Amino acid sequence: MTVYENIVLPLVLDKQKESAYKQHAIDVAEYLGIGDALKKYPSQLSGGEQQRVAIARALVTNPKVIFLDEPTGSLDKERGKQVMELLKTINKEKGVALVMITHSQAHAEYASRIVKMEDGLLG
Amino acid sequence: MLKLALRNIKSKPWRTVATVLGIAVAVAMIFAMLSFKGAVYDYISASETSVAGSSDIKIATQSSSDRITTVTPELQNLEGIESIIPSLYLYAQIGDEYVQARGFETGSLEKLQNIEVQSGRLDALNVDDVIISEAAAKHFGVKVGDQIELVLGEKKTRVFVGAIAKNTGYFVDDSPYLILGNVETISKLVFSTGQFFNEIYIKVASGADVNSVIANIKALDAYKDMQVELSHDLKYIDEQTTALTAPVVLAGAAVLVLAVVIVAFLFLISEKDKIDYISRLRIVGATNEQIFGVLMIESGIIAFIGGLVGSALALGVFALIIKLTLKTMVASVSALYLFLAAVIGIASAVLSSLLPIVRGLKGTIRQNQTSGQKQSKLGFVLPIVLCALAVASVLVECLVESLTPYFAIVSLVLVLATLFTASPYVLKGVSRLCSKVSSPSVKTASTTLPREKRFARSTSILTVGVAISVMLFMAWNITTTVFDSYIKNFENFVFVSNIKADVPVEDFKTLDGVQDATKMVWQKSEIKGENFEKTVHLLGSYDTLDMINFEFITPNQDVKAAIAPENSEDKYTDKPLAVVDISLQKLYGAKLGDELDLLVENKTVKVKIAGFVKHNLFNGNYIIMSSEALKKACVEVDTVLVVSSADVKKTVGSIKEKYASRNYYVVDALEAYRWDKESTSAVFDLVGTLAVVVGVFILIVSVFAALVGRSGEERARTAFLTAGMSKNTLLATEVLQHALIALMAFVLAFAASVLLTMSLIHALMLFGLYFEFVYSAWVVAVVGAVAAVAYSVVPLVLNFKKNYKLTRS
Repeated sequence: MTVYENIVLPLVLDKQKESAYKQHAIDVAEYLGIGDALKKYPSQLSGGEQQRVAIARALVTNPKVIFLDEPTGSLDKERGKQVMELLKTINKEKGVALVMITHSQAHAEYASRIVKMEDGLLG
Repeated sequence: MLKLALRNIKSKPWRTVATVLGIAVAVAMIFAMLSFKGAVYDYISASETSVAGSSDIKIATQSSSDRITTVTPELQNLEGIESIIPSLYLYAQIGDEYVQARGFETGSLEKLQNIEVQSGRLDALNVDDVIISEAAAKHFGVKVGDQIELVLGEKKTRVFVGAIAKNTGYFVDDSPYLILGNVETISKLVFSTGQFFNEIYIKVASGADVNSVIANIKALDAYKDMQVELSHDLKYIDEQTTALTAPVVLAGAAVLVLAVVIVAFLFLISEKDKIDYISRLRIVGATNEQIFGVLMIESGIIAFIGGLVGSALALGVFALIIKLTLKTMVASVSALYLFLAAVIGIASAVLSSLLPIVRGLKGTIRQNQTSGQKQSKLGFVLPIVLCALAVASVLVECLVESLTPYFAIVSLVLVLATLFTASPYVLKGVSRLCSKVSSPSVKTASTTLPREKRFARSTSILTVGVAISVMLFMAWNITTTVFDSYIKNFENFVFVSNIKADVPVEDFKTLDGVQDATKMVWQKSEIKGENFEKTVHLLGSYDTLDMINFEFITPNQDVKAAIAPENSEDKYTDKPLAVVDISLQKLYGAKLGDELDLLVENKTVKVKIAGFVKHNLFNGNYIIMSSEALKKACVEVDTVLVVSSADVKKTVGSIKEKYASRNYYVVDALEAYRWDKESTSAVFDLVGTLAVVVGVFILIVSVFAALVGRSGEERARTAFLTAGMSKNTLLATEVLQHALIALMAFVLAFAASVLLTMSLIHALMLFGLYFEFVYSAWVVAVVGAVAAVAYSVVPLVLNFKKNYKLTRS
């Protein structure tokens, strides 16, 4: 699928008409800085851009909460920081709660609340 | 390198198995098409030679004689003769049913043909014992030891079933059923005592010239007025084989090409994987030679196994088809064709595997990794160009008569090539339309269809495959329509033969239920023109023009005036005048006034074409002359054709009753046609079965092609499930993908089938066959619909849903 098709997939599954969501999807993509990549395929994007596509796909449904499982796991330090900055902006500007799992202490510091889990037990 | 290659093969077991089976099926298809004509030739040859067996020369009486022949001392002493086998051949009846009765001297039964006994013993036969076939025994409900009464006119004789034979040898042409016995017993059907023959078969000594022996026999007084000719008409066997196989041979050529394309396709499906693999090998330091070696060994092993399995499949399936359809013969398999089929399959596989290897080796690692899904712009141009060329070719085919058959072949190739290249683009267009629908499965199916190369290739294969299957079924349809027109015209006719030339026809007109009667010649003969020779049915009666619904190409009144009994000869040349089918003009350029040599009853008569008519009867292989013209040419007119307006069976009964003492053969035309049809209906069955089997093969390979590429899309399916798509929706998506392809293939093949059928019929002119356009839309609709439905339900049948799972990427 193209970047655009990836982003709108949840809306397609929700049987919404394309005319209703098309502009919104483009707006989300531009907000996340991948507006120019809508016709590209994920294999043509960098790791950070691919993560932005995944975030856009989550954001396009106007959720109240987004769950993120190691969103920066496969990214280098610089790109990981960019993604975390972006997530922070989304949380602040869109009012979307983010529940994130990470092994990186530095990235965990971006959260307003940190819950540690050790050997399956919450600390 | 061998270890790596074997590991690759083992790592993707399902893809390997599917590829091997796909190659095997392709090899089987190639073999079936190569062997078909040979199988039909063997069958027709066995059927046509069943009577004369291993003899070289046949001596028979002329129709107007006393029909008795004897072996004279002069004949026995003639040089060049190895053995002489006289026989008596009659039609008799068991109850109301006609049978062939044949008598040989004691000890001569197996001199012409071997008899394969199923029950009873040949060495224990008494004089009044007969041998019948398994089919006859079943039909009459008799077994060894049972009694049968044979009747001919007023004469009867009782015989016993001494043995039951398999339907081979004499019994290949067992229609009507053959009763084989001692000539003394069979002769009782004609005279009360003594033994008589009406045929003599001669085996020529090794090294002797058959034609010289024939000439020497004709020079003897006893045989100078008899028919002395070669036992087997090899030319007629060739003509019959061609008439029955040409349509399938043409369609079969397309099957052959398709089989090669299918094999290529199976190897190109894994192109992306191969290119990725090449990149990974390069990363770890493998040289180009090493990479090439590993991949070629892998392809070679798969291709070789596919070729072996294909050869076994080919033998098994073809032998089964022959056994089921041409029941009376054992399939003779050509080792050369088997080898050729395997070689073509293996070579196609190995050569096709080169393309992704070359591409992968050409690009850098980075290029191979990120080649994405670029579409070649040139690809769009090709179907347009092919379509334009196809249109031009069809126009030439239809408008320029002299080029029709040649451009028909070109049109067939171009139409199929257009279908192959254009169908993925049509699929793209259809998908684009469907993507407007808001249903998730429709939208997802239509979005993904144009993207995946495996679907584009499946579309091409299935579309062309359905079109070719339709062509095969049309070939079957064309082959069977040859006989349909006979039924329509002759259902009210009764034949009375074995009569003397001086019997008045008016006697028959007075019978109850008889509308009309005419005396005519009706037999196979040969005509020779400037650039052709063919076997035709001689319809020797002026009344034929009224009895059969001919379309008059030459004006009706001109034709009738030309061959009217009082005008049977051309006043300028004194040559008898004849009317022929328009196919002679279309195929060979024959014109009004052209002279032909007509060979009938061992006489050559020069005739002049006085008119053209059109009819499907005997495939256009007939010539019409008046009986008066034939009498003047000393050809005996000895068959009465009776038209019954009432119950045909009743008319047959009345004639038999009135002329019981005269041993006439009286049979309704459809019964006589059934005798003729029995031997060829098996060939029709073979053609139909072959069409079904090839159609199934094409479907199987199309399914394989879709399955082999599917494993590479695991990630995409996981993405859909991760995004929240339910398993049912994903399954519906896959079903819709198949259904859209199938529907599109059906529609395109249906549309193209009219052109393909027309070109197929035109191309048959190259084989000396002329058919009017015959198209049965129901055949196309059924074939296409079955293929479409079967392809669509594959995801359901193979339970794709079972393997849907979310995996961490």
